Amino acid sequence: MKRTLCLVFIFVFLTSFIFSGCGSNNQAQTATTSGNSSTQAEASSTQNAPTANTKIIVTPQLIGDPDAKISISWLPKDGLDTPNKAVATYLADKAKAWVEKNPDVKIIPIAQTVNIQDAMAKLMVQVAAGNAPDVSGIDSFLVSKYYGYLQPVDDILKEKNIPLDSWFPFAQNVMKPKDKILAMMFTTDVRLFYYRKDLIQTPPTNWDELITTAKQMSDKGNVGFLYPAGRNETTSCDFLPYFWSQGGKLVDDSGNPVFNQGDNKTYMLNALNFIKQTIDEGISPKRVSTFKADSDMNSEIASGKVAMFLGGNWLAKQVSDIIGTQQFSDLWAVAPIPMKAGASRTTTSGGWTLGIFTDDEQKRKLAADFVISLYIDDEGMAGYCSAYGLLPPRKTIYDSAEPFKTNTVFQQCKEELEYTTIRPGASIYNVISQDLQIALSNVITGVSTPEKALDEAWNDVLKQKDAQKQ
Amino acid sequence: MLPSATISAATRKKSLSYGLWRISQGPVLWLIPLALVLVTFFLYPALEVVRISFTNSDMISNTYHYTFNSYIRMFTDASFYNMIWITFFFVSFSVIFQFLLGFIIALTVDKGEHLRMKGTVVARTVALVSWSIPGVVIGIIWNILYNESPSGIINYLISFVGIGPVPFFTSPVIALFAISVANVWRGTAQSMILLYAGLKTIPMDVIEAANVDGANSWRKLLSVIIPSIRPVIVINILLNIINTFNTFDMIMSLTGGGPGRSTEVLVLSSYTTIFQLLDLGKGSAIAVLLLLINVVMSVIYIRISKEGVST
Repeated sequence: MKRTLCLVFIFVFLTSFIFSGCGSNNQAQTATTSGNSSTQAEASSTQNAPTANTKIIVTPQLIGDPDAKISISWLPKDGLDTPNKAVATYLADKAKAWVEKNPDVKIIPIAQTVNIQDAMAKLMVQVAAGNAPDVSGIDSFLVSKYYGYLQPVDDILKEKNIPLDSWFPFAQNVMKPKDKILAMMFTTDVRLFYYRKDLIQTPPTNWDELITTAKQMSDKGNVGFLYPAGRNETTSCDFLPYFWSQGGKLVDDSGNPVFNQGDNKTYMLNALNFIKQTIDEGISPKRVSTFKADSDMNSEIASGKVAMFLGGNWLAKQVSDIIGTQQFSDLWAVAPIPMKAGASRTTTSGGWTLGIFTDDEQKRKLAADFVISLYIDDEGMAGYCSAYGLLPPRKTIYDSAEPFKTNTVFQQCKEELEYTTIRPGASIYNVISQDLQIALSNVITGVSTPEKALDEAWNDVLKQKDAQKQ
Repeated sequence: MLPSATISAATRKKSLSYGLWRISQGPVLWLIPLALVLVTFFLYPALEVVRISFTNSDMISNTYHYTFNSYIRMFTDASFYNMIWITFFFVSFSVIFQFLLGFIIALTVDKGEHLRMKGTVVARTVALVSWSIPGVVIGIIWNILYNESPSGIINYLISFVGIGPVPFFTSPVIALFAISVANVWRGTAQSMILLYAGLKTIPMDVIEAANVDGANSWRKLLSVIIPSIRPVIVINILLNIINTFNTFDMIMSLTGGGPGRSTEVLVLSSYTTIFQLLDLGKGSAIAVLLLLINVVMSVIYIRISKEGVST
């Protein structure tokens, strides 16, 4: 028996080494296999297809004629199986209309995981291994990492009469890093300063005014000012505008970190000292360092005891859903984010882009045409963003389509989007962001002074940058 | 008379069939499917992580070279040793109190059954509830309990006796205690079940003999009960150590490693290094360290299990 077990063990070990030695080739195998399994799933779901005199079916696993000659794999931000009914219906209707016009093409949607970070990491592995989907949704924050793999879409946008300058300037920079348009932004968001208009007559415009106003509010038993400062990317998004508005730069043109050099160091210390001041003055509680997402503030905001807060535009809808749309519009208003006196008006934005990975000319054009009809052209962007409640990154949509044309909040967001600064696409940014989150947390909890926290962040970033070079 | 070549071919054929028959009668053939599953889904990924840990891979490019740099960077990182201390505290605190509380509950339930008290099944079931809740949900539950705003349940309750508010997540020291307590709550049920099962294996005549000898409760516990279930206790502690080292989901949803790095344990650091910093080499090196700890614990567990079986 011992001999038999020994043989089995040797077999297991040797086989695993053979597998292991195959390295990235095996990743290719895995991806192909998963593609096959999704195709198998299609067959079982045909019974749910809308019946027509064609063979076209629309399911979360397949859109189009199962026998169509051309197959396009599509990794959407949200698939047809999204729990958001309005979005699912919108996508299904638009996708069906497109495949009816293109009966030779079938679309194979690929399931996306809910965790964006994980989903984008998985896509990176696929892209690096040469198994990218033909077309994919990509978080705009990470799109720069895919530039080397994306196919240009200038010709297709020109053919569709969609000019690049119909997008906000920040989006243009994301989409066209050099001389070609490599990605198409289809949603965006913006950080806003919210204040209680029933309590505050004139919103503060700079840090000093903010602290004075917040103190007055605190004296009346309110929480003066809330913002997220937990360990998450949202913290960087809410904090960095304070730095950028003074003219600060995180990285130089070569992508090297510079946020602790020259004037940048002063700007960063100013921003960290402002955060420290909000805690020391008692206008913000230390628990802001536990808010890992903007929505973590919702329960306190809904309690009616918060006077001002900083957060994404989506909080307007989330808080409205809790306290009621009417009460929200009666109590809350938005204004530009207060900055250091004399600094420029700035906010930040994120969003999602679409990228074409296939280098097959026919599929490149078809894939681009498909996603443009769903998300990018006037009808597509207005339809998708209104179904989802997101902001369109094309400014022309705010002048032409409802509800963006008449809704006050959307119009205010449009104004703020003109002042957006986006996070740099440098490969070191992720490290800078994480180290700044830790620095903020240490300043808020009193573990470090702003100077010490900044130095620790800087040293760690330099060490990681050196590691990247090796 | 048949030619010799024909005889040897027939003999070979016969011996081949016999060999196949022998194999089919043994366990090897039946173990192959299981072995394939183990290799594909368990051993291969683990070896792949070990391989990647010796490269400078990242998530962005598919080019890499083999190097010890990931390990050098891990061991020379100043925050690494703080992370080891945090992990050591988290595991030690969790394992000690999971065992103690689990043992107390198991003894109480067992005693209650001997006394034919009502409610022992309910007590067992209630203790098990925490075991069945996913880590992320436990994180949310304890987040609500620990909330530092006026709506936080624990801070609200202790305010009646004039204490608080306690900065559960904004004080680095208290935050580490807070996640450890939440993990004790999570793991006590497993200890209770294992130790309860162990207590059920103690022969009644041994306890009765101790009673006849005039042993008090404390002496019975130390000299009879604990020695009788020693293998179960060791296995329980080892399983708790492995589970606690691998605790990720609960900490992620409770603190995300903050404030600062004060609750960043090894497994969380591996995750953030790979998925946030996109540093596959260093993240894998941290994962390999975790793997080594788990392998050592598993080997001890297997040895003790075998000893338990042989005795």
